[in-house]
Amino acid sequence: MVVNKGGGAICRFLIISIIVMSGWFMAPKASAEPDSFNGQLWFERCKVCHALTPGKNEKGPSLHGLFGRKSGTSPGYDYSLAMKKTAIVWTERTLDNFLATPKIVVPGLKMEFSGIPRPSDRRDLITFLKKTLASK
Amino acid sequence: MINISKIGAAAIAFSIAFGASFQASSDANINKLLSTIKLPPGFKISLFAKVPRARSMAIGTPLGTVFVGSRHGTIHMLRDRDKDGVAEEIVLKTDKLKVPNGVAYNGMSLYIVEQNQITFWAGPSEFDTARPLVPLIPIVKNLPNKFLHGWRYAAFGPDKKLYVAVGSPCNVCQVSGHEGKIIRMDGNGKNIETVASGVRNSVGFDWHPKTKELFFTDNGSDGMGDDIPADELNHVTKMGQFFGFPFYGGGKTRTPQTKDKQAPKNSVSPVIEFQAHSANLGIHFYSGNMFPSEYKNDAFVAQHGSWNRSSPVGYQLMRVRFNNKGKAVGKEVFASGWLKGNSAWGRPVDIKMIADGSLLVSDDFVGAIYRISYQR
Repeated sequence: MVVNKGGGAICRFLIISIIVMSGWFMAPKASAEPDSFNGQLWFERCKVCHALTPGKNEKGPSLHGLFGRKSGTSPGYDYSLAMKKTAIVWTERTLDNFLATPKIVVPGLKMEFSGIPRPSDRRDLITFLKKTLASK
Repeated sequence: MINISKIGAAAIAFSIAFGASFQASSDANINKLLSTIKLPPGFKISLFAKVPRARSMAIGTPLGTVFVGSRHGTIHMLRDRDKDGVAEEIVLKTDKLKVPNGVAYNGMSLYIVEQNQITFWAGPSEFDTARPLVPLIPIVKNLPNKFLHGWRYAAFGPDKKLYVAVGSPCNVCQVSGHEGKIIRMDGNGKNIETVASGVRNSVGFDWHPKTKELFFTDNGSDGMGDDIPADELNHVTKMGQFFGFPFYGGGKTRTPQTKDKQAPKNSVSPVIEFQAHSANLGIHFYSGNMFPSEYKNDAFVAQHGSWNRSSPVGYQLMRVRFNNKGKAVGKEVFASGWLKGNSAWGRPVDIKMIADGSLLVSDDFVGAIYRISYQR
């Protein structure tokens, strides 16, 4: 191992310090595993406007068959023009993107919801929604 | 000046830093974040214990054991034997219960209120932190068993009865049975009475130390925008009073769902209105001698923080001032900083004083119990 004395040691110390300190002040992260309680909690909030039963459109369209379906195509629901023209195919990824800031992803959207800012909340909800829809 | 030793050292440091960020809820990390909490002069907040998903607390006597409920199946037992302000014993007692958010202690036994039932841990609960959490004897088996607002709050009152808040299983709806009420009962689950009805979802209550009257928080309904309806602090002056839900969503705001109905004339309005959607949960009256005397018989309220407001609010502790007749007269922020800009790193849930007069505050997002102390 070659060690450069003097300036080399200071340089190395600075590099190490910067790298260590950059990881230091980080906000606590949510767990790596999806939280099914949290997912269900968020899902209950969607249920205020959305049902899961086929054809049951309420304030919002039925979410039956959501995954893999093109946006704006729940039969019988009166979508906004914006949603009808948007060509999103709903997957975990596109839902995650949409639910973060719905009104920015689909300007002119009818859905009265400002979004789910926290990535772990979106992950928990989408995991729970996918599991619940699959079991129907 | 690239050489092998420098790359190697940098690689080691890099992995240490990433290791630190993956176990980002380290004690030192949490204490660093706590140093950014704003408190009045002389007050300090520090980490008492890391407890995943920590929610409601009950304090045992005489040993000061802290029992912690959660919404994720767990009950924890904490002990700070050497009284240095940090729990050195953090014991997970179970992770199998059904939303065991309600915990209460009656001088000997721990009572647990799950979504569907109330049980108590037979025997002296403080005796040995290693004793398994058995047997859990059910005393009420048929609480309304619905998910939404199914997280109960419980405490023993000055009358030695067990008080339990049972939420309404909806945003706005007609309720039935014990839904939307605070009820009380004997320690064996008998003689259940309605203390308050018309409660949308209360997750915190406490008694004024002098008047022994009950005060409870109530969370306002959703769907009416960012700033209405108000969250509430309510004062029970008579058994069985009606507090407005579902006719009122909070404060004096009528719900659109009931606009064609006349609200009952006996609806009791809140004594304090909080910012809509700030999610006011645990309330605790201060009765200790550590804090300055001006705090005696005032109450602290934990604001869990908003989930659906266009910009977040709450995520702080409020102080509610009371006059010498035991009436709430005002509110102000006591501790803030869990919300930074548009992003929150922690969510206060419940507040309980411990024997030395400091306050424990639970946070179910960080997964921690904090301790607020005072020194002149």
